[in-house]
Amino acid sequence: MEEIYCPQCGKTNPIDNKFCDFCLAHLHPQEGGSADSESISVPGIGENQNGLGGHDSDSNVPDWLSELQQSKEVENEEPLDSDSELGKPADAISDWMTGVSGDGEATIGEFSPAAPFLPDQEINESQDIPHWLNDALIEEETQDLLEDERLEEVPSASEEKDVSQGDSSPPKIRDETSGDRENAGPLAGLKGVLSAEPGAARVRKPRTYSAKLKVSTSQRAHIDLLNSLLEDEGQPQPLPQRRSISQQHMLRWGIALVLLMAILWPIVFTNQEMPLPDYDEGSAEVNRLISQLPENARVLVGFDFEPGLAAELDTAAKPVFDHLLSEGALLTLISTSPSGPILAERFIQSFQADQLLIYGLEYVNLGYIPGGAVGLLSFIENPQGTIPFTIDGLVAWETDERNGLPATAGISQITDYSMIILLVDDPDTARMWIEQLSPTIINPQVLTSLVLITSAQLEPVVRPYYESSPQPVNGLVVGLRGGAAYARISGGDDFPGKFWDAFGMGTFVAALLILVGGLGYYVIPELSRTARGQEKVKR
Amino acid sequence: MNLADWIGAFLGFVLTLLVFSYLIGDNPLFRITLHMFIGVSAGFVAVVAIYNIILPRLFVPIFINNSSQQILSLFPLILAGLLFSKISPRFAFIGNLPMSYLVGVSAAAAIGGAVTGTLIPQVLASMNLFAVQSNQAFDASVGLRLVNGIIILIGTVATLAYFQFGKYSQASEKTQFQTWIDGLGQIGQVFIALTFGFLFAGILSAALTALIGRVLFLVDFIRDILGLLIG
Repeated sequence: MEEIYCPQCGKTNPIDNKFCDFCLAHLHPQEGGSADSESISVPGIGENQNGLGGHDSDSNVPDWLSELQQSKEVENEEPLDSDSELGKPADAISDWMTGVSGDGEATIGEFSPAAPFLPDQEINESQDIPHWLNDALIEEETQDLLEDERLEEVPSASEEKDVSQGDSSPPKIRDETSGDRENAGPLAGLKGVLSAEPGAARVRKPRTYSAKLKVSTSQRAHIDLLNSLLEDEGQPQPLPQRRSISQQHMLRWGIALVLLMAILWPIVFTNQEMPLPDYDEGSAEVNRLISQLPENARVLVGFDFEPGLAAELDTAAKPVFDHLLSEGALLTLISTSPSGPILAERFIQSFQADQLLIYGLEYVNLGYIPGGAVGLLSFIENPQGTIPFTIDGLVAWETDERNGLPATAGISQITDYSMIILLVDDPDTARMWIEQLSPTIINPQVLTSLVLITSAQLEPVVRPYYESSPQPVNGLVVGLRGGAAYARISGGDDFPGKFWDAFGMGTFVAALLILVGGLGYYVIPELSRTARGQEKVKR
Repeated sequence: MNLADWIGAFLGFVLTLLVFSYLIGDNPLFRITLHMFIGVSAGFVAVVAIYNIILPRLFVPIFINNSSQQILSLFPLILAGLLFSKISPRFAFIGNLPMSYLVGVSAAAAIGGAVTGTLIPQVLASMNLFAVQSNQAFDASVGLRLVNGIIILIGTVATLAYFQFGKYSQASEKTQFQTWIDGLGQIGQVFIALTFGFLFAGILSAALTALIGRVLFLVDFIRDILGLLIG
């Protein structure tokens, strides 16, 4: 039984089949095909079609083709040397070739490869097709294959641009209304459909892309620049030459020398040249409050300053505590700063040479209140619950069950203290104490007064609390000047005169330096500008 | 002075000189002193925290109180333990409970104190400067108080005008309102300059006092040494 290969899937089918059993493609070219396919006039193929299809087309066959058929029948009966027959192509095809437009390439291009063929009569193009046509077909197919491979291996310019620029624009939609008409398969005669040619189903080698990153010239330049920067980063760079003594150094040393000389002179060579300040309202108010304290009054003292400003606060507070201890006040020391308890102990020890203070009897150190504002608020609302022990681990407060220390006897709440004195150097800490205490002590029925001994740098912050009405701060001693004023008011003669002298001289020289520096800052550029103007005028 | 006092004074003398060496620029001696100060401060704070807070307030109450107080004393211990979970990023969320408690309570105390202790009292105090009784004789003190109140009022309003966070319109000419605000801002600038001058004077005074304290210590130490040597 004769079989025919399907032009679509390449499988064998009985020759009587009109359609492929596997893919339903037309096994025979359609009679109502395109005009292009009708114009095909390849003699070999035409002969096969006649033979296969069994169409009686003698009436339609032109003369030149009839002659060719007759000659072909002769060839079939007496096999001839194909080479000898094909060796005379001009004689054999000259007639039908002249019927074609004469454009060999156009005719070849219109050749339908989808034409069926018999497996028994395997196409031997060298036998059925003339040499020149066979060569042309082979050459064209080779060129197509080479073109396909070239396209597969080398991406197009547009693809390369997309890869390099990361273009994500959608691919162009194919215009299906245009394009070639399909001339084979079940979609034959339609335009804009996928080709049913065997070549379309050919297994192609998958497209391969280069693993190398495609970069443009400008990107390459940036990469080189980045690489050079990274390489330079690892290279040790020589340090710039520093001038051993600059103008800035000279200025700094000059100012330091002048200030040190101003401070040292009164300390070393003189004694109490400058008088203490006559009067200070805040210090006088503190003096009045302390003088009105009852005997053995309980006083809470907060030590909330850092060691760096201990000299200022110790000196300012010393006349106040001299007066306080002379009135017989019993002190309770506390701090919201970790370094506060040891500074408090050190401060109290400085009085031991003149006046013996017994721990627990005349003063007690409760140590450190943790928690900042929360801890302080807790202590104000419940002192015994917040700090039950002293810094030495002793029971600090007197209760019904056990006796406390004499210095804290009778204290159950914060308002049991006659006075609260706060030594502070930080504006936030001072404000925290005032804010947490003022709702409790601003009460006409509460006799507890709040006194602040502060560093000079805090005066702008705390003075509004002292001068406002109602008055959360009842007394204010500010810095060395406040302490000196208090010493003068209280009549004490133990204020360090050398300290006050050095402070006065140092302040005077510092103010002078600021004035000279400010004038120089404005005058020197002006003078140089004037000199340059005069030089221009002379020229 | 005993031996410990002498050693302490000598260390203080040397360390003070090392800090003063910053005058010639940043140098290793100054750095060593700085690191010593930071290390000693951290160590001291740790000792205070352990012996003044953790032991007496966290662990001792568990053992010396009655049973109900012991149970209550466990809560801070548990919350403190949960804070350690912040060390690990995986279990850090467990520490959010004590952290939220700490932040919430701290914020409440700080805001409440600021409103009731500073904001309202200061506003009231500024208003009270203008409170003149109808039957009160207008003497010098009342006049001085009014002048003080007017200065404070102008200073407050002008300083706020200087810190206006508005935006000028695109028109080239200023409106009358903008001209007024600019004028007030100029006055506010004067008040701000005076405030900064006041602050600078205070800081200079405090720093000068600290310097004098150190110089006085150096001079006294040298005198003591000389007195000891000379007899």
